[in-house]
Amino acid sequence: MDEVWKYVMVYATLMAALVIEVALAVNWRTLGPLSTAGVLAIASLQAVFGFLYYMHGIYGSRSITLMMILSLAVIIPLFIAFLFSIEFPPHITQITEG
Amino acid sequence: MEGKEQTRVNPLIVWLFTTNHKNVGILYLVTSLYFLVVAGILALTFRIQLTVPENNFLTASAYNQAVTAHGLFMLLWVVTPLASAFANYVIPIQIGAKDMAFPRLNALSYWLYLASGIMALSSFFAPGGTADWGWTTYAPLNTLQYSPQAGGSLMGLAIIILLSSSIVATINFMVTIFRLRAPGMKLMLLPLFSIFWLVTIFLMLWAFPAFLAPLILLVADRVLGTVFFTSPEGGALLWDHLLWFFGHPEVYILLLPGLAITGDILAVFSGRKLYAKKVIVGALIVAAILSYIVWVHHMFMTGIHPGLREAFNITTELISIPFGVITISYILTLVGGKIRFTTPMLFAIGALALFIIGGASGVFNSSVALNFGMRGTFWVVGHFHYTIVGGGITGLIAGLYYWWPKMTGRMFNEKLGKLHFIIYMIGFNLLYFPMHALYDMPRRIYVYEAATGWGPINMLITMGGFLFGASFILFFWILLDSLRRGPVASDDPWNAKNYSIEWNVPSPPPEFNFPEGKVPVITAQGLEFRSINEIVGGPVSGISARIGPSKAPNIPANGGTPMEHHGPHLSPWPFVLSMGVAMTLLGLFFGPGLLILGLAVFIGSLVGWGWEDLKERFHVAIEALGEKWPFDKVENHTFAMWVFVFGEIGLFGPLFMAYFFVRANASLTGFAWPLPGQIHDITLGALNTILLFTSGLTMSLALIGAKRGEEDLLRAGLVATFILGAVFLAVKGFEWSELFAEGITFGSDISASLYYVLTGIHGAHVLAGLIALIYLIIKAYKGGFSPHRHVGVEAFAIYWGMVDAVWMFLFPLFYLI
Amino acid sequence: MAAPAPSADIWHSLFNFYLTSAITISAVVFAIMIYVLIRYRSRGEANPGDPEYRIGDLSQRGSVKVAIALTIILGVLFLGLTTSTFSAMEFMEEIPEDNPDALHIKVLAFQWGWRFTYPNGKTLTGELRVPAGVPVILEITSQDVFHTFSIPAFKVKKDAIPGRINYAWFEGKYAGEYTIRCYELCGVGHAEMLARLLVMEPEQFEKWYEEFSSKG
Repeated sequence: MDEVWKYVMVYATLMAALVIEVALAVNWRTLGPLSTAGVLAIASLQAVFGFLYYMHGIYGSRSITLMMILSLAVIIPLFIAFLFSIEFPPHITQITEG
Repeated sequence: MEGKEQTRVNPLIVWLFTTNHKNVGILYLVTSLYFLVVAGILALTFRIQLTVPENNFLTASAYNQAVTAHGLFMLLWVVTPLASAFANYVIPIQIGAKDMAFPRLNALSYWLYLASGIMALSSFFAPGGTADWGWTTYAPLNTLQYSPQAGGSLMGLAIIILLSSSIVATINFMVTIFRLRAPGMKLMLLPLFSIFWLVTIFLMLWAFPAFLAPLILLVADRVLGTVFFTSPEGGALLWDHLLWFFGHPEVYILLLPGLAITGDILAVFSGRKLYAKKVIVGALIVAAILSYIVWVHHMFMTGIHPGLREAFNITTELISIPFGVITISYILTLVGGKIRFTTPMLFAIGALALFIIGGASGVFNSSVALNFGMRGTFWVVGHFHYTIVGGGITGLIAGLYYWWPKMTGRMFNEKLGKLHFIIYMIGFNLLYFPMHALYDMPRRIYVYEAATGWGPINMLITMGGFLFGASFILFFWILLDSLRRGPVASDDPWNAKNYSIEWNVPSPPPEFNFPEGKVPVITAQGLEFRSINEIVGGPVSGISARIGPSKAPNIPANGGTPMEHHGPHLSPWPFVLSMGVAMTLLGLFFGPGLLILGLAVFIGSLVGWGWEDLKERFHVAIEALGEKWPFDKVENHTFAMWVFVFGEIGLFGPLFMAYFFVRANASLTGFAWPLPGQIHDITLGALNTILLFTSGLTMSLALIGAKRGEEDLLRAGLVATFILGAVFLAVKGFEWSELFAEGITFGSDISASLYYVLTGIHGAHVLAGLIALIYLIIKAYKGGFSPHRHVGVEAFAIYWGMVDAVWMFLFPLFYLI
Repeated sequence: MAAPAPSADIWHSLFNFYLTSAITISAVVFAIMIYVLIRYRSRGEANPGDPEYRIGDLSQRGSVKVAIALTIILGVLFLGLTTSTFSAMEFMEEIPEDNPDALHIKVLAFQWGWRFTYPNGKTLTGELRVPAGVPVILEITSQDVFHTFSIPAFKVKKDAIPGRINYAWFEGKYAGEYTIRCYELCGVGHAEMLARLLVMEPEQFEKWYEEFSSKG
C-alpha cells in the first residue's frame, strides 16, 4: 500500500494547505498584503504538488520538467511588460479629463 | 498515390477520410493555395482603390473589410498552412518515419483548418459583413459597440478554430519529430527544414494559445457581453500586449519555414555542406527565444514606461544578430560550390536577397525615435512584406518547385519556371520597394488627397501588384501543365539523395514511404534501408538506436483485410467532427437548424471516434525504433498530453496575466473590487476545491490500479473521479445561477467578466475531462487496460492534474483575495 | 533641407544616418553574394559530381571563430546604431514642463476628428493654432477607440488611447500650415480623420488668442 499511502499523504497536505489558505484570507485579513502574498504562495506550492504528484511529474523524465519550467518562463516577460504598463510615465502627475 | 490495397476505395472517400501524412500534405497545399488566391485578389481590389488619389472604387467599409481579411487570410490561412503542407509531406520522410505519430489527429488538424476557412469565408456573408478592424484587431474598435457586424464575431470564432487546429498539429509534430526519428537520426543530422520546423513548432506551442486567450476574451465581449476591452481596467493595452505577445513569435512562425527551405536548397544546388550548421541552428534558437521578448516594439507610441521601451528596443535590435549570422552563413555555404541555377535555386536566392532588404528596413523600426515617423505608415507595410512575403513565401515557392517532382512524380517546365522567377522578382520589388518612400502615408486609409503627392508612387505600387499577381497565374499554369504533360520525375531529379532521405524513395513515395518491410537507418557511412527484424533483433553496429517497447507493427489483430471501408488508414471521424464544429458555429449566425444539426454531427463524431478506438478499428503504422532524445523515457501518448499541457500554460498564463493587469489597474482607476466573501461564497469555493483535490486523489488511485492490474481499483477510481467532477460542475452551475439571480451577469463589471470567463474556461476543461472519462470508464469495464497498456489512463491523469492545478489558482484569485 | 520643427530635424538626421548605414551594409552583402554566385556557378553539366554533404555526416564545415567574430561585429554595429538613438528618443519625449512659455493643449481624438482644448478652456475642432517658436505640450486621449495622433511633417506621434493620457510635445519653427492625421485604423472615417495645424507668428497668435478667449 506504499504508493496509495503516499497519495493519501499528498492529498492530506493539499487539504491542510487549503485550510491555512482560507484561514489566511478570512481570519488573518488584518495582515493585509502579507495575507494576499501568503495565499498566493500557498497556491503556488499546491500547484507544484499538483505537478509532482497529481500529474506524476516526479516520475517523469527530466526533459518534461525542463519544458514545464520553460513554459512558465515564457509568461514572465508578459508579467514584466504588464507591470510597466500599469504606471503612467514618471513625469505625469495628474490625470486630467479630455 | 495510394498504396495498392486502397485502389478499390472510392477516391473521394480516400481524400475525405485519409490519414496518410502525404495526402494530408497535399490537402493542405491545395487549400492554402486557394486561400492565397482569395487573399491576393482582396489585395488587388484595395490596391485598385489606392491607385489614384480620391478614388471611389471601394467604400471605406469594403476597403477595411478587404484589408482585414487580406491580412488575416495571409497570416493565418496561407503562409503557415502552406508550410504545413511541406511539413506534413516531407518531414516524416526526412526523419525516417512511416507517418505522423497520430495520423488521425493529423487529419483532424487539416479538417479543422478547412472548417475555420469555411467559417472565415462565410463571415463575408454574415449581416454587416466581416471584420473590418485590421488584422491587428485593436481594442476597443473590435468591440460590439464600434463594430456591430456579426461577421466580426464569426471571424473571431474562425480564428479560434484555426488556432485549435494549429495546436493539434503542434502536438503531433512535436511527438513525431522528437520520437519517431530513424535509428541514428540525431536532431543535428536533420535537414534545416525539419530543424527549423521543430523550432517553429516550439514557437507555435506557446504563441498560438497566447493568441487564443485574447480572442476568447474578445468573442466573450462580443457574444456574451463581457467588458474586457471596453472597460478602462482592461481596454486597449490589454489587447495590445496579448496580441503582440503572440504577434512577434508569429512573424517567425511565418518566416522560418521559408528561410529553412532557402538554406536547404542553397546547399543542395551548390553541392556544398551548409556553412557552420551548428552556428545556424544556434542562431535560430537564440532568435526564437528573443522573439518572445521583443513584442513591445509594436507599442512604442502607446506611452508605456520609457525604460520598458528602451529595453525592448535593445532586444529587438539584438534579433538582427542571429539573423545576420544565418544570412552570412547561407552566403558562405555557396563558396566553393558548383552552383546550378535551377528554378528552386533561383527562388531560394531571391528569398535570401529579399530577406536582406527586409532585414535592413527592420533595423529602422527597432528604434523608438524613428518610430515617431514609421509607426503606422507604409514603411512598415513595406518592411513586413519584404520579410514575410520576400523571405517567407518566396522560400516556400522555392520549396514547392523543389518538392513538386517528389509530390507529383512529374517535372515542370524549367524555362517557364525561370520566366516566373523574373516576373515574380520584378513584380515584387515594384510592389513593395516604393512603399518605403511612403513613410508618411498612414496604413489602411482608403483614400488620400491629391495634395499629399502620394499618387504617383501608389500608381507604381499598384502596377507592381498586378505584375506580381500575374506571376502567380504563370505559376499555377506551370504547375497544371506539369501535372498534365510534365515528364516523369526520377526518384532524385536534383541530385539531392545525399542531402535528405526523401530523395532516396520513389516519386511519389509509397504509402509507408520506404521499401516494403524496411526502415531507414543512419550510420556514419550514410543512409541504409534495413529490415525491421534486423533492427529489433539486436544492437546494430554503429547505431545508437534505443529500442522502444515493441509494438506489433501494423498488422490488424484479427488479421482483417486492410481494404475494409474502415481500413487501417482511413477514418471518417476527423472530417465529420470538423464539419460538425463548423456547422455548429455557423449555425450561431445562419440559423438554429444548422446549429442543431451541427451539434448532432459533433456529438455523433465523438461517439464514433471513441467507438473506433474501443473496437481498435484504426491502426497506427508507426514503430518507435530510433532516436528519441531527449524524450526517450516518455511514451508517445503521454508526451502528447504533456505537450498539450505546455500549450495550456500558454493559454492560462496570459489569462492570469490579464487578471493581474486588470486587478492592478483597478486599484488606479478606483474600481471597487469585491472583497472576499462579498460576492463569491468562500464556503462553496472551498467545497469545490475539496471536490477537485479529492478527484485528483481518486484519479491517481485509478492509475495505480491500472498499473497493478487491479481492475476494481481502476474502475472505482475512474467512476469516483467522474462523480466528483460532475458534482464540481453542479456546484459551479449553482453558483452561477445564484449570481445571475442577484443580477450579476457577464457584463456587470470587469470583475464579474473575469470571474465568469476564467472559471467558465476552467469549467469547459472539466466538462471535456468528464467526456473523456466516459470513454475511459467504458474501456475499463471492457477490460481494455492492463499493466502494460494503460497510456490512456496515464495521459488523462496528467490532464486532470492540470485541471486541478489551474483551479488551485482560480480559487484564491476569485474567492480569497 | 531644414525641417519645420526641431523634432523633425533630429528625426531626419537619424533617418539619414540609418539609411546610409543600411545601404552601405546591404551593398556590401549584395556585392559579396553576387560575386559568390558568379564565381562559383556551375560550368559543367546539369548534375555535377558528388556533393560534399552526406546523410549521417555530423562533421561541421566552417569555423566557430568566424561565427563568433561575425556575432561580435554585428553586435557592435547594431547595438551601436540603436543605442545612438536613445538620446533622440529622450529629446522627443522629454516634455518641457518647466518651460513657463509652453502652451498646454488637451487633445481629444474621436470618431472621426480632433478636438483641441486651450488653457482658457475653449475648444477648437479640426484646427489647432499655435505660435511659432514656442513649445506646445499635448495631453492626448481618445473618447472612443484607439487612434494615433501625428503631425507627420514634425515627426510627432503618439497613440490616443481611451482611458489613458499620453503626452507629446512639438515646436513649430516657422509660421505655416501642416496636417494632423490619425495613424491607427479607427473605423470607416480613418482616412478622413484630419485636422489643420496652423503655426502662427507669435504676435498674430496673441491677437487671435485674445479674441478667441473673449468670444462668448
